[in-house]
Amino acid sequence: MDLYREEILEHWKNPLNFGEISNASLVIDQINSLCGDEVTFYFKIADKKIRDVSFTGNGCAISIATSSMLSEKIKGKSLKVVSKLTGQDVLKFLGGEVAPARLKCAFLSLEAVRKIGTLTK
Amino acid sequence: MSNIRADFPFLDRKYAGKQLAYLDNASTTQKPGVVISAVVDAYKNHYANVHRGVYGLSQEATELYESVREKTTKFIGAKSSREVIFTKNTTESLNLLAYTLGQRLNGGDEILISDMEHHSNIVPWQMLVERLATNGKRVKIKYIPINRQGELDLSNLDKLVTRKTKILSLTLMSNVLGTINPVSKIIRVAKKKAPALIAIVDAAQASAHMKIDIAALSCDFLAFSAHKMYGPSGVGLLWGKAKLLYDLPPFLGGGDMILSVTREKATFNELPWKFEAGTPNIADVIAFGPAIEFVQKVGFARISKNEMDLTKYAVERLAGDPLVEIYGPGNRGPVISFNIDGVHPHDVASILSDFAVAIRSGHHCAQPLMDAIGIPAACRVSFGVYNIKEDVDRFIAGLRKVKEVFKLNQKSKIRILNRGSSRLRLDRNNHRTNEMSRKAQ
Repeated sequence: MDLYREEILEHWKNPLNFGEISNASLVIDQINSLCGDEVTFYFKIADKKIRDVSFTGNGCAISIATSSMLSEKIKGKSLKVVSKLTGQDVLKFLGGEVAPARLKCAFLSLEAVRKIGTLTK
Repeated sequence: MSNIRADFPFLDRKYAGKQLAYLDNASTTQKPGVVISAVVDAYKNHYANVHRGVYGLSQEATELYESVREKTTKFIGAKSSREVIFTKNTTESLNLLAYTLGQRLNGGDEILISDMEHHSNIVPWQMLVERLATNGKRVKIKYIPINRQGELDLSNLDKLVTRKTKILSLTLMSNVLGTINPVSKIIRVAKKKAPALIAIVDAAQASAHMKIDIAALSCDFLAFSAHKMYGPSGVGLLWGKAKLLYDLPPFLGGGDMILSVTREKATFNELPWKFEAGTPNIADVIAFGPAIEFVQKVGFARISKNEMDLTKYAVERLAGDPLVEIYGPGNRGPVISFNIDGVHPHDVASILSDFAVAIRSGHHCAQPLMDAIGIPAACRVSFGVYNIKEDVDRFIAGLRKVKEVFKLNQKSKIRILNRGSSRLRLDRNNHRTNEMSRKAQ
């Protein structure tokens, strides 16, 4: 219950960077194997920096809120910095305690973002 | 139901000071004390390998193991225990069939299943089609669609079954919608058009709730699992007509499934052992015996009355809520799938968990069905013999909490979950298969 605090619910209700950006240079789909939920991340990458990012998808409050928060964190950052993001970082900005069964929901967006490195090489 | 609840030790444990309102029986059931002690007793007092030792203990284990085969035979109304095979679960039973029956299929043959199947009655057939394709044989899987009521749409059954239909495999009760399918009728109609067709019934969901009678079902094979009917996990059942089983090649090769082996060749064992390679799950098979006895002692009349009273009550409570959408039919077993408008099922289940109410959330291993309904996921409650009205009340109270947390009483409109979902659109475009896509720069 602690997990569903005001800030999380706000991100879920009004997610930041939600929608498809035009002329994305990289699109990554990520599926949650637990439930089949899917997020799609859109990136504009130039000079090894994330110039713009957005996402779309169906998901629970946890996965939508983390996608929203994570997209905000990585906007404007270098690929090097983004590649160093860990699950711990995500849990830190989520703030609440995440039950093991829900970690997949919390890490869905991170899994997508982690693929940037492989896909831009 | 008080005496039945006393039979189930899981109710002795408290979660947040309460007994667990366990409403995930469609996934697996809790075990009565007689089953749990039978596992312990088997290991303590009767454990040795079966069908092998000539010493007394091995014979004892063998007799207990085989006596459960006899009980299972009577439970489903089979003619002979030679027709009853122990596997590890319904999934393995269906894989056994896909593997062995599949060796007889030819290019152009068709397999007919439905949009309502569990993944275990879809994926083995898809894998079979892939295997046959590598041998140059093109075999097609066809799906009986569902209608807006969440029942099988049989209006085109005549066209779906052709003379090339060799296998028909259907669930008797949907694990998501609870729909009870008119399987025997479908089999009769299908066999008229395709007399050589093999009819398989997936009774995994049904077996704990209604009497299984293979003669009335008029099927050729039937698969179910012990764990969904108060028995141990790790024990699956496969019944098949002796004549058909006799003709089929073995599934797994190894110990106990042979009569003799030379360097060149093996002669396979008699039925049913031809299909039971290796040391089986001895103790759990033995403990399945008391599970069958438990179900028979309570009786399907009483089981069904309790479960369906609760189902009716829960549907009434849910249906009164304008934010709740229930999926599924009038003719259902004790399974209800639903969504709260705008809230993801995982969030619902997480919050209910804090109130010691256990429900399932997700796609329930039936993604094609989710696609047909037009939803990514659903919440599901399902009842068992030990559930009581208070479980439903606590579940409904938990849903009120969910709505509080998500402030749904403030008419907040949520766009994400509702994105592009039209209810019960019959659209099987699977957009979830691409793990990754990359757009050109």
